[in-house]
Amino acid sequence: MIKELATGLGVTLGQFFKKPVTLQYPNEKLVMFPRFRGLHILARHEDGLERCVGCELCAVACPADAIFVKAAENDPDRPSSHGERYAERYEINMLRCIFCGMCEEACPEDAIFLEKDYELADYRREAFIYTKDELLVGEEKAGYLPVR
Amino acid sequence: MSAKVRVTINGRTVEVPAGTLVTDAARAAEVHIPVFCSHAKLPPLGACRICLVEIGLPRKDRDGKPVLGADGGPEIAWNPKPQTGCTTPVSEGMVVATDSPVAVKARKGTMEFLLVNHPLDCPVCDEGGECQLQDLAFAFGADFSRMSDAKRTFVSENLGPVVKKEANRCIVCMRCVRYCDEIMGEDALTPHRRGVRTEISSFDRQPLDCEQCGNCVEVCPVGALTALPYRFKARPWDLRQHITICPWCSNGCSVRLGVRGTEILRARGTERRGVNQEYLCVRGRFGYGFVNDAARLTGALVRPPGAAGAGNALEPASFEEAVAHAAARLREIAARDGADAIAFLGGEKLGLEEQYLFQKLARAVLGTNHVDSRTRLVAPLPGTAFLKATGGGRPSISLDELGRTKEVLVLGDDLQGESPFLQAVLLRGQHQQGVHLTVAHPRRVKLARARFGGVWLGLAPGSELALLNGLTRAALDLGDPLPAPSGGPPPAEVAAGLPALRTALAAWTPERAAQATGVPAAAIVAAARRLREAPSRAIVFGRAYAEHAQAAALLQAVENLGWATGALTAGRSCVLYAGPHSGTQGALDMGLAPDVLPGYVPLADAAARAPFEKQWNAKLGAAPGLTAPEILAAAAAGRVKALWIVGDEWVRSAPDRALVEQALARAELVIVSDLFLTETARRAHVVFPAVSFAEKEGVLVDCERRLQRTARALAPRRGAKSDGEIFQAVARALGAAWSYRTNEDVFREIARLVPGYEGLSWATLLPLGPQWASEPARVAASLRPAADERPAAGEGLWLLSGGVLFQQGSLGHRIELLTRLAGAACARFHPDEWKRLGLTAGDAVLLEGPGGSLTLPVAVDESVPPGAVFVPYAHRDVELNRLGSPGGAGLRVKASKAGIAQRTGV
Repeated sequence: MIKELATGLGVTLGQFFKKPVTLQYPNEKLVMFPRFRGLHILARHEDGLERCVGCELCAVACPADAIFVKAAENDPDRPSSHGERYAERYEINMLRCIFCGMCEEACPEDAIFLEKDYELADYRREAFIYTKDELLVGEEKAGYLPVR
Repeated sequence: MSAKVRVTINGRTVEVPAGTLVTDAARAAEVHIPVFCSHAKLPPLGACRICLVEIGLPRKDRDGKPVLGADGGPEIAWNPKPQTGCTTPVSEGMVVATDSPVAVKARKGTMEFLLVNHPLDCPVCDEGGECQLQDLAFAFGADFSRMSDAKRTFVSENLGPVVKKEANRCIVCMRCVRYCDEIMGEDALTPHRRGVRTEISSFDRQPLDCEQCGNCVEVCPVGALTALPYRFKARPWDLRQHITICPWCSNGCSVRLGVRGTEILRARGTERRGVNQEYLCVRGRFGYGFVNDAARLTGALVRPPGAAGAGNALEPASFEEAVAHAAARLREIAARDGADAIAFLGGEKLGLEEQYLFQKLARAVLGTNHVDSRTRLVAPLPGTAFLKATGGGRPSISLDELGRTKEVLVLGDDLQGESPFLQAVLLRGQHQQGVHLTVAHPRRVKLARARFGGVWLGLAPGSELALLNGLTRAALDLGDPLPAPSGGPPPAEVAAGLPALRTALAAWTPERAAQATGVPAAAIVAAARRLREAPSRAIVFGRAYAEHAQAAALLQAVENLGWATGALTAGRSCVLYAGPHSGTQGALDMGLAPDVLPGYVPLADAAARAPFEKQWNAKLGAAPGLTAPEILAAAAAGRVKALWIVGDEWVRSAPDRALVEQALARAELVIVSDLFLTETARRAHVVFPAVSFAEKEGVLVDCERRLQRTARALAPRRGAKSDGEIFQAVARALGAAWSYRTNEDVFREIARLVPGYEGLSWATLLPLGPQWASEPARVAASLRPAADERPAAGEGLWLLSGGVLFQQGSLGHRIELLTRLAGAACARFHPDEWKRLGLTAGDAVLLEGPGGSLTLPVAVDESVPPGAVFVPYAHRDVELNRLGSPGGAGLRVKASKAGIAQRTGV
């Protein structure tokens, strides 16, 4: 019996000398794996134009029907995207989203990615409708594509 | 008719008529053969080759007997090469394989070939999601491309305000070019260059100068032609599709509305569905914008008693308040001045059930017979006038059969503006079925163009009656009216009237008719002979005759001609009235006329009236009420004190503007139900907000008397009520015990009560309802001389008016695209008249009629005859009824130059 007790305590004591697994969230944050699926981003080309052309394939692929896209025609002098079409409105309802990644899978333009941000709690329901302004990456991240 | 043959497709044996194409036989066998260039309304072409299949025929020996194989069945001789299914007719014993290695390889090769130059821009292409090429590439194509060279590219173009062309995506199936030529008669599209560089575009690459119908977009199987008004608006999976009936004319086209959220984003036809299938005209395809217009009424408005004016404006009220106010005022007027002081007008744009309720409200609840839907009439006509002219309710032919009728006489209407689908039916018939067209119209309208091979009887304005008399006389010279298809004699009334008619028409020799009309005598005789002797013939007339000052005589003359030529008796023949609105026929069927109850039951007939009195629990007056022109005069004179105008811009549609303004000012109570605060509604005391065609369901009866279901595509605009709900609310406030929950309840009552509609139910009207008919005829025929030669009112130029394609009624003014396409309203003159008046481009002209004047920009137009001026009536800027009511054979106006045009555009 003594032997078993010692073995058990040994395991416990052994843990004292290992690096702790627990993080002091929110002071410390976990680095997510490359293929983690969190809040979406809409990426930009190297020239700063939006990759999204508003084709709505993400919306039709979405099993939770969480994505709304309304396309419009580009102003040829001040285009938003390559080509004639861009997403005038792009909204994701994060209360419905199940983070399955089908939108990313469906996107023919490599425009939408599920990124690492998982801190999505809020106090108002409206805040969970992420608009294009919130999803589109800044100009400084032009050309950025997440590593997969 | 034709022999049946047995074909085996992928092991399934079907029996189809000889001459059926392999692709159609495959559809019967429920085997899918893909097609691009093949189209149900176009002859086979075999341009795209995607329908390649392997075809075999039973091998025959020298005696013509089938050779039997080892298994005892006939031995099949397979054609060494795959053949196109869309051009190959079936034959007895044919065996088709769509899944054999040869067929699969051929299809895959064709697919790869079609995709050699097709760009991979599906994400930005509007066709994506409903593209046949996309679907077939997914189903049959390879998942990689062997092509590494640069693709051939073209520049994309806007072909006018409707069509966007992206030639890179074109697979040169030629559907658009052939549809435009053979069915629209426009020939606006053409291929440029040859081979791989073929590009479809307009002639000279100018914006398309055509009807802008958008049917080229509809038939395009890929995204080469897309519609600019729908550009990037939505994907097909975003849209809820609702098939309903187009509200723009009486042809009854099925229209498929695509709705996203609460907005209609597009309207399309549907292949193999409805009378029109995929065809829609520009109004039907792009004329839905008024439904989502922000200016629509969203609540009732009530004006305190007294005249309209400052300090006595329309004020918003709740629906219940408005109903209570209207009912109280109606009750007060009925008690004080009698029910005859109340008149009900309009209703040609309502559904059948609402039309029924409207007249029931008038007759059973209020007790007035002053009910008339035909607010544009100049001459008072009995409610049976149009039915009588078209044979009294005998079985009519369908529009589909009309397209196969050998001789068609079009009287007085420019079908391009009034009934675009009817025109397309005739043009397709002319091109593909050998229909011969005779067009009697003062102007050389589209149907009368030389390229359609018809005959144009360019009669002098005002001589319509002379031409009809001349034609009837020439037809009667060829013999007595033809017997009925059953072999029996024509109705007794016809035989009885014949001698008197012959006597009266004795004077109308071809020479005299020629002198009166300006049409050569030989042309009149030849037209009568063609009508009389063709294997099948049809006579088409519309609002030009219905709204003519001599309408009563003209309709009698049309009927005479119908009997004399056999159009009313012979098989596959008819006289067709193409009325102006979607509910014109239904309104007459439902008794929205002062002298008939629903089903054309005469009010004077006590026995026939009894079932209605029993069902409605009311005593009906036997005396006919006033017709619309009489109501107009009576209201202006103060005899009619209360008016209910439903869905009608009476200020613009009544024949005399001054009189209608006087009538509305004089009336103590004007109730208007409409979508918008129209000019008429502004003069009302109670305005009810109504819902549009897309927000209610019911039944419409089209010009071939076909009953069709309409569907609700949208929830009603907040605050708006359907006309049926409005009528029911007022009827209940007046003490009637109406309890219809839906329009279907109303239709059940109609089917119980109305002769001709017995046994029908909503369920029997899908997908395509029946054409109602009654044998013996509902209205007795008559042959009576129709000689009514009154001179035209006024002096100067004849005023010719007519519909234009891009505008129709006040709702059209709400649609930006149609207004833009219609352009400015112009008074159009023949070059001779133009010279005589000393006009130059940019001038304006002052037209003075007996009732007032109108200033309009001018245009020169060779299709207008000398001595006349053409003014379209439907433009916003044109209020033709300001010139006064036409009298006699028409209206004459004085034209004088009035300086520079103030308004050059709309």
